[in-house]
Amino acid sequence: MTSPTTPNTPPKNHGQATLADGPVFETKIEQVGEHEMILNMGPQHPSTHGVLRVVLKLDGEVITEAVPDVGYLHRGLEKLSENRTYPMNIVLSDRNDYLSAMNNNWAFCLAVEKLLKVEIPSRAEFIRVIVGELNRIASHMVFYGTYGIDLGAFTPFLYSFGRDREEILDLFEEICGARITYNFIRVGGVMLDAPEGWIERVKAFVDRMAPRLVEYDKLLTLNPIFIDRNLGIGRLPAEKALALGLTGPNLRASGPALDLRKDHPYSVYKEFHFDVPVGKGGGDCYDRFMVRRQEITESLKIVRQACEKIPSGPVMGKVGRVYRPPAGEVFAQLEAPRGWLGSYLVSDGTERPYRHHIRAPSFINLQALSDLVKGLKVADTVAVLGSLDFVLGEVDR
Amino acid sequence: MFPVNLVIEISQRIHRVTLPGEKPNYVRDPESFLTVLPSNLHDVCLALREFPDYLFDLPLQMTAVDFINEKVFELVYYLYSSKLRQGIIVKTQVPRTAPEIESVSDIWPGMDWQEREVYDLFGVKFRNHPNLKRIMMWEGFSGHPLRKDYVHQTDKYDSGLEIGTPGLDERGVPIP
Repeated sequence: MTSPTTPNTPPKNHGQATLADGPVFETKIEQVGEHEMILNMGPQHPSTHGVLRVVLKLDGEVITEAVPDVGYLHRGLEKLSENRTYPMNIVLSDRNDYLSAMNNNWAFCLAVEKLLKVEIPSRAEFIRVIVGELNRIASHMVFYGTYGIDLGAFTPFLYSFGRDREEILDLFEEICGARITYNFIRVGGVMLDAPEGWIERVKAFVDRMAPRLVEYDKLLTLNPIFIDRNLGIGRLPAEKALALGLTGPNLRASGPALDLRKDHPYSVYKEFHFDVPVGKGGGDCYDRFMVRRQEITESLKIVRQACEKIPSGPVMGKVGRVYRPPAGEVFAQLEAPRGWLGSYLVSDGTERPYRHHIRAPSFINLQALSDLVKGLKVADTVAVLGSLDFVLGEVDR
Repeated sequence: MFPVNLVIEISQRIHRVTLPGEKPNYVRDPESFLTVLPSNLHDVCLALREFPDYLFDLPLQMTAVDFINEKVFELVYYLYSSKLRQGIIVKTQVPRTAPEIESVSDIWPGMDWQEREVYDLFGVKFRNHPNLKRIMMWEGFSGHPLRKDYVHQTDKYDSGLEIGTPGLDERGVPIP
């Protein structure tokens, strides 16, 4: 905590450049009222899940203003993209949202496939759905565990992160050799066919998960302290959520049942039956938690159906090792665990993209933060931050 | 997802909108798009947001492309209507020499950070933006990295293997 003066801005400029644009959060003593103070949260703070800095202006314990400061993890992925060939770019997309790297591979491949107009073999589409949904489950398990920790419940983390997510990562390791950054979904299909018995092991995992979800609910969902910390905190009306550009579970928690898998089915999602959970409590933190918790159930349903329907055949379409997509521009998007993940590609006919923009859902979702925490207590900031479930790798790119 | 009829209908209703000409051998989304003059962008966006038939209430994304040969920045806005369950692309071009355009963050607050990002990485200025500051690069950084004519400034972290020239240490010796 600092006294009501200018906060000590960490020098991001390595001390050589001049301050052309001024500090991101400018606070003069006149602006801070008699009972107000400035609290700097982050960039190194356990509850910000990475390097996010939020400057809070407080009146007693109540937040009157919150300014998020992002960019600490900016690696210039879009600039790097322009200097790398298309297959190299799939590797970069892993580093974007590292908790759902499969979906990031997939989004980029969808865009390139739109340019190249390749046919994807049916078996490859099913494997994509299986790994994509397993990755969604793994990502929501991280959310489930860390959100509990944020609010003071350590035990659920050991179950979801320590036990169940590990099993998914083991399945991924078996199919592609990597546990976090996969580079598995390739333009035209997938890298490798599933090894023998893998589909059965996925089925066995889905069967194991059903009773474990009951455990999850006993541990956290129905915990009275947890409910008290969540109900009515950080309400976001549907209209406002839409205007802020929110997508994914954060938007569905506020009411609108927008899901790309239902509204604009890509891949083979038309063939599966599943529900789209929406929030019923006006978009508070508990809704955002519940939507993700229920999505685990729905994703398990999809994985089970995909395992039963998966056909045999090749897993790679007719794509050369070196390819030059024709000139053009495409935008492809899919429903990632954090929202609508888009890839906007402009090609000039060479083997490198002319421009590659990533529509990162976390980046756009994070804009809701300053509105949400206004008027809340400091301790509730942690709940709101956790419930938005962003990944800083994707925010800063 | 993006029906052509809708675009024609909008272009008839909003007279300042022109339909783009077709380019041969150019792959484009099946989705249709509108091209507007930069001076009309704000009005068109407001109409797309407010017309009860469209209600493009979800600002999906906005970004820019640097077409250095044509000497323009192309700004691309993807909008989505939660009522119609369909989207639309609005495009406009600003000259590279004086890139400036009206901000639409008053229509959709979700465009706020995205416009800041375009300002940061391309140097396009957005008029009436509430807080037009760099968002990705640090304050005091000079230049706009995603411009095609941006020259990489070497520092001590450059290996010299891929892009740029070898970095030099304090004594002027290249760092291997």
